[in-house]
Parts: sequence; C-alpha cells; structure tokens
Amino acid sequence: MQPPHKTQLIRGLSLVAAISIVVGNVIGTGVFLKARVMTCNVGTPKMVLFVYVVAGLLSLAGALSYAELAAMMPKAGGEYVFMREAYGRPWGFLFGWMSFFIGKAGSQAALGVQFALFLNIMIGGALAGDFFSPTVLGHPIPFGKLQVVALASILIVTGINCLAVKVSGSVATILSGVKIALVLLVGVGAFLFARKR
Amino acid sequence: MANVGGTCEGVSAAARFGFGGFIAAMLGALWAYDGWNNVTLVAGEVQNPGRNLPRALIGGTILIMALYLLANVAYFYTLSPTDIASISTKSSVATEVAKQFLWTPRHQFHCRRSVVVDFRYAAHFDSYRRARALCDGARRIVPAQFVEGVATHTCTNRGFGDSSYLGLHTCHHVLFVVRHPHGLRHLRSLDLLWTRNGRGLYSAPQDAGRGATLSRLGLSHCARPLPVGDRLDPRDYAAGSSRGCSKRLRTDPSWSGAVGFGNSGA
Repeated sequence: MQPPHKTQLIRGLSLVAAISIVVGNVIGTGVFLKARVMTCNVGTPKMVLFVYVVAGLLSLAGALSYAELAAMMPKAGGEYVFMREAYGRPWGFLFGWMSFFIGKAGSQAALGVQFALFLNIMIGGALAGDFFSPTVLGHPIPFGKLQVVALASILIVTGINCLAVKVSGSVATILSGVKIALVLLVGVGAFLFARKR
Repeated sequence: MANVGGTCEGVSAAARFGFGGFIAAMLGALWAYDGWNNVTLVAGEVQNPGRNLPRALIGGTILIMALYLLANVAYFYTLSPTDIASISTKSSVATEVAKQFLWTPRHQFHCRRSVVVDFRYAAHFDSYRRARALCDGARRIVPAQFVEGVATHTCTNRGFGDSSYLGLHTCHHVLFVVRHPHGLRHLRSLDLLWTRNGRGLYSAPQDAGRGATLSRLGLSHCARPLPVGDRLDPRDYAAGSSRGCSKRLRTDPSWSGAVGFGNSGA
C-alpha cells in the first residue's frame, strides 16, 4: 500500500513579497487620518510623534515575538498554528473558526465597504442610490452600487489570492509600493513644495 | 499636556487632556500600526522562512515606523497643531497637507529666495537688456535644457508681499515651465523689479520724501508645482511655447495685468 500523498504549499514568497505583505497590511487610512484626533488628544506635535514611537515600539515587540514563533512554526495559518501548538487542538479549532467566520470576515467586509465609500467620494458620488432596500428585523438593508462595488472588490482580491502564490506576491508588492509612494508623496512633497507654516 | 485649541470635531472632552488623552492617542496609533502580524498567515508559503519571516516582520515594522514619523513630521511642518485640530471630519490631514502643494490655487506662487541688487541707473536698461538679465538669472537657477516654455510679462503697481522694499513698483517677469528629469513640472517666475526715485516714475514708500535718487533692481524667484497633467491656461499664465531664453523670448501684450502673484516676495 502506498503512503498517502502529502500536499505541500509552494514556498513562492520572497523576502520582498513578505515585507510587502507586512507593509500592505499595516498602512491603511490611519496615517492619513489619525493625526487630527491625536493632536486633539495630546496637544503638541512632539507628543504625537512620541505616541507614534511608543506604539511603534510596542508593535515591534510583538513583531519580534511573532518572528520567533513564525521561525519555529513556519506553517500556513499563523496564529491558529501558534494557538494549536501552545494550547491544544480544541483551542486552535475555536480560534480558527472564530477568525474565519467573525474576525477576518467582518474586517474584509468593512474594508470592502470602506473601499466603495472612498471610491464614491473620489468620483463625486456616482455610486449613490439603492437598487432595493429590504427591511430585516426592522432595519433597512440597502443594496445599491456601493454594495456591488464592495462585493466586487472582495471577489477580485479573493481571485488574486487564488492565483499562483508568485502572482499574488507580486500584486502585494506593487500595491504596497503604491502605498509607500503615497506616504512619501505627502511626506517628502510637503518638505519640498509646501510652504513652512 | 497643552490644549491645542481648534474645533476638534468629534473628539470627546475626556480624551483631550492628561492620561486619558494619551491613552486615546495610543488607540489611534496602535490602530494605524495594526496588521503587522498577518504575514504569519502565509508563513507556509514564504521561501526560507527561518530567515525571511523574522526579517519581514522586523524590517516591515521598522519601515512603517519611519514612514509614519516622516508623514507626521511633514504634517506639522506644513500645518500648525491648531490648524490640524480644526480639520473637518469630512476631510483628512493628509488631504489638507497635499492641498498645500498639489492643489495650489492658480496665481499663487511659492517664493523660495529673492535677490535684491542695487543698480545705479538701472531704469536705463532697455527691454532687451532686461530680458537678457532675466534669462541669465533663469539659467543660473535651471539648466536651459529643462525649460519647456518661456514667456515674459510686464506689470505695474503690484503689491509684493511683506517686503517693504518690493512694495510698489514696476516689474518685468519671466514665466517659465520647467520639466525636471524625474518628470515633475514647475511653473516658475523670475521677477525683475526696478524702482526709481527723484526724476523717475516710481518710488519706494520708505524712500519717499528723502530726495534720494535711487535705482534698484530686484530679482525674485518664485515657483509653483504643476500637478501631473495640469495644462497651462494661456489666459492665466500665457506661457510661451518656445524653448530656451534670450532670442526665443516672446511677449504677448494680452498678458499685461493678467497675472497676480499671491505670495511673491521673499
């Protein structure tokens, strides 16, 4: 009897692609939006920068811990694997399914809606209007162009992730490059072209 | 912690001072950093994971810290804390900062430097010499091969910012479009201003009544970045299509008085 064939994932993500995944996952709207609220919170530019440094060091501490764990257990699943190995299969199972149905699903839905809302602002409100709006338990659930775009964005990204790992790694690299370029555009552009206050 | 002032739309009073404010700010910053752990989900697909995963996590986080600090230093370089605190919730800090250099209103120039030189009898310069002087100045600032279009323009009685010396005079200026090797474009102006007191037509306010004969030549250099794809409106800028300076300068009488310089001056 032949031994069962063991399926393995292709290790196709290079260091650059892995860094791009980290950068692409982290850089979102926060750096573009949060300075206003943080300035109100702490009052001075120095304190805002200090808070960013403290939060960055906390994240770095987490990154160092995860770096060690990931190097010890380089398997697909990330935190699910760490939970399973540390606390046993039941806890890993609960964590995995919770992430699948609630944590990641909710965050992907929120990202899709955010994408549609920002796109709508960019194109001058062309996505406004509902096709229909059924009421469920007393709450209207509108469905219009915004929802179509949000769903389409999730489907497209899912499709990209279903392609070969090198392709999705390349897409992640390009998109992260765009994000870095945007931050640099604002950061460097302000020093070069804007007037000092 | 200081009260920054401003409207602080949507920010609770309890989160504006002291330890509560610090914790609220930490929430915002940690939210901005969130997501660094997601690369572990694809740990099974990373080449040489023992080496690349730690490098990606640590290197990526440090890179993000640097980018965030750069962006925030740029925000505070451009806008005051009160201005930032007063930004509407419908806008964002990055948008308002980017507006400072990407959506500069037409006619608004950023003047980085100006050179003011005293010339006796400068008013006797004929217009060709004035044009040559401007072009020579332009060449010192931008190599001619990057100058895409050049135009001259004469105006009178223009206010020039907060410089009392450049308060009220006749000016000649050259507008020239510069295309940088990396693709960015600038609309720059090089302004020649001259004053003459005594027998002349124009007098500087601070010299009025002193009876001194004064001829001064002011050379100021102003710049405005052109957004990508921005087309020059000839009614606004009247930038010539010819390249280079000197003999290729052209003057269009329809420009006279058509261009204002919001921030001219040093």
